[in-house]
Amino acid sequence: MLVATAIEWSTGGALILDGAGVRADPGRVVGLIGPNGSGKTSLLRCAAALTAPDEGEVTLDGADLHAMRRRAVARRLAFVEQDADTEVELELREVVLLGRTPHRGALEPDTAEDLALVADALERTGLTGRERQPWHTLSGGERQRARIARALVQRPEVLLLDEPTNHLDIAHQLELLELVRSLDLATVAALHDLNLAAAFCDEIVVLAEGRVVATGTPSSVLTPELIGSVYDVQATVGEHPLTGTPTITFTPRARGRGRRRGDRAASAGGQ
Amino acid sequence: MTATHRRAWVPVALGLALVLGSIVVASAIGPSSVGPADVWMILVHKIGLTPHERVAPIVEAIVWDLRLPRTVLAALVGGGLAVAGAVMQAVTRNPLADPYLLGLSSGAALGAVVVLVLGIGVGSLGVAGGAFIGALVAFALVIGLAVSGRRLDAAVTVLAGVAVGTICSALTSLIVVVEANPFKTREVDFWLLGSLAGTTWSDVLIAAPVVLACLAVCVLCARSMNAMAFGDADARALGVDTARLRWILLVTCALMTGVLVSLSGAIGFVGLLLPHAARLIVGRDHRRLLPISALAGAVFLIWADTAARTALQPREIPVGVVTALVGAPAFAFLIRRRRRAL
Repeated sequence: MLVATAIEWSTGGALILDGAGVRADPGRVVGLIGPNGSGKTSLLRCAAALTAPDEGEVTLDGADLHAMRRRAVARRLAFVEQDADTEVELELREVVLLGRTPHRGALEPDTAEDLALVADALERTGLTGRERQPWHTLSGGERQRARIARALVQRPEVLLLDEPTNHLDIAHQLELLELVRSLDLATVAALHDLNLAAAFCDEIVVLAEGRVVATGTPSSVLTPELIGSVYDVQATVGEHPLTGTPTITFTPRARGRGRRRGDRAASAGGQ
Repeated sequence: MTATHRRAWVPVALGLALVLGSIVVASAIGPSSVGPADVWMILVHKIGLTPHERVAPIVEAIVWDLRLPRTVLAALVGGGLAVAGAVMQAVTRNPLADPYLLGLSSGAALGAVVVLVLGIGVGSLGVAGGAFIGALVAFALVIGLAVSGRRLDAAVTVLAGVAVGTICSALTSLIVVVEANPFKTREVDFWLLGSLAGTTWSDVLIAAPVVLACLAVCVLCARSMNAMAFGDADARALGVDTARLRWILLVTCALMTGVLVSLSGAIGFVGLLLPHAARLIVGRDHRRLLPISALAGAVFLIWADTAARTALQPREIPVGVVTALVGAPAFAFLIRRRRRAL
């Protein structure tokens, strides 16, 4: 169980996280949503102990994550960075095999288990048969799936994903989130697409200006009022005819009305 | 899997055999004709495996006192510089990184000359220490000049390296000329172009432990170096303490470069080219790349030095001239290739 509480972090004089927090329980998928610049990536990075927050703490089963050695963290927690890229001419299987780094000693060779995990992860992400393809020849979507495959090979308890559906077509978006759900890990995923968040997450955490403004099940959080106040858009929430999860559609709104933050809450409340 | 492991050892074993073969054959080449078989016999005898001499004492003196230490030092310098290049390329994520291009070699030469002129420290170790500090300071300057924000642009790094290297070389020349005592500081050519002339076994005894220890450190870091392909943040997410790793590796490179430059002067292009050649043979996994770079660098410099001392007999060409004649065109080719990739 990963718990990040009351995280404050500022950079370049700007306060990015202002007491935000998130909690990941085994077997549950938490969707982190919020507009651009609301602090989703920063919160994930703090929760992965890649960025040291100014205030607040992150614990993994009660132990302070920021006090643990990097290697110990990486054995239990995988972080899939958005658009992580390289100029080194690596083959796909070499990239995925990097996920075994925290589990193997400096002079230990790659074991049959390592290679089996790589083969399994490639299959689960639909990349079987491309093992020897050079990284720079993969499409954006294939690279994204390769990053996920690498995280799987890491065999983590906690999986933190920053915009995992970026660059993917709709079929691969659904496939990937289904895969993430089936892993049964403690997962936090920053997502842009509210419908995907509603369909795949057990819990939604809404960030705005570095603060958590709502937490709960998709149907309790994703209301027209909340979406209106956080994203400044007019949303209609319905129910998926087959799954019963919330579906969100948007209506274009005339510019210049309810733009300022103070007005936003008022207009959202008045609708 | 075991099969692939066994195959992974084949290039290393072949490389070791090639280095040993090159040492023996290259030591047979020179103005007085000696057969490789004689060199082999002398080597085996000196190591203590055969009791009797079967070659003339004069031949033994030429081979054992003059040629073998020089060839063995060439192997160590070539291997060490190639590994330093491969490591710097990984750590700076810059395919053009190399101790010579990034100014470490020139910094080391300056450090060594300063120690020689001031007469501080004890003998060769003092000079090696001065060269180590020179290499470290030069590299710190290059990074300080090149870094903007937290990013290190490949081309700017090379430019900063050239700037720092040029200043260091100029100061080295100036000090040597002002001191005007070639017996105390060696000639300018030695420091700027490199030379293995006059190598003795005591030079080898300084270089060997340093190169082998530094190579061991680098190989121990090889897996972590692989993880740095996607950048620092990503390597940290994979459990690598990148700040510590970078310090260890850069100090190791500076130590290796410093000690080698104090013995052989600043020899260019070995660290730049041999890692790229090694990549063509064994790929990009540093666990294989570093040993193969070392072996390829050793073989390359043995033969470059053999050409340097025999091509224009009885005159010697500085070995750095030979490596530049081979290396600069290959460097140009690398730049072209990189431009296509971008």
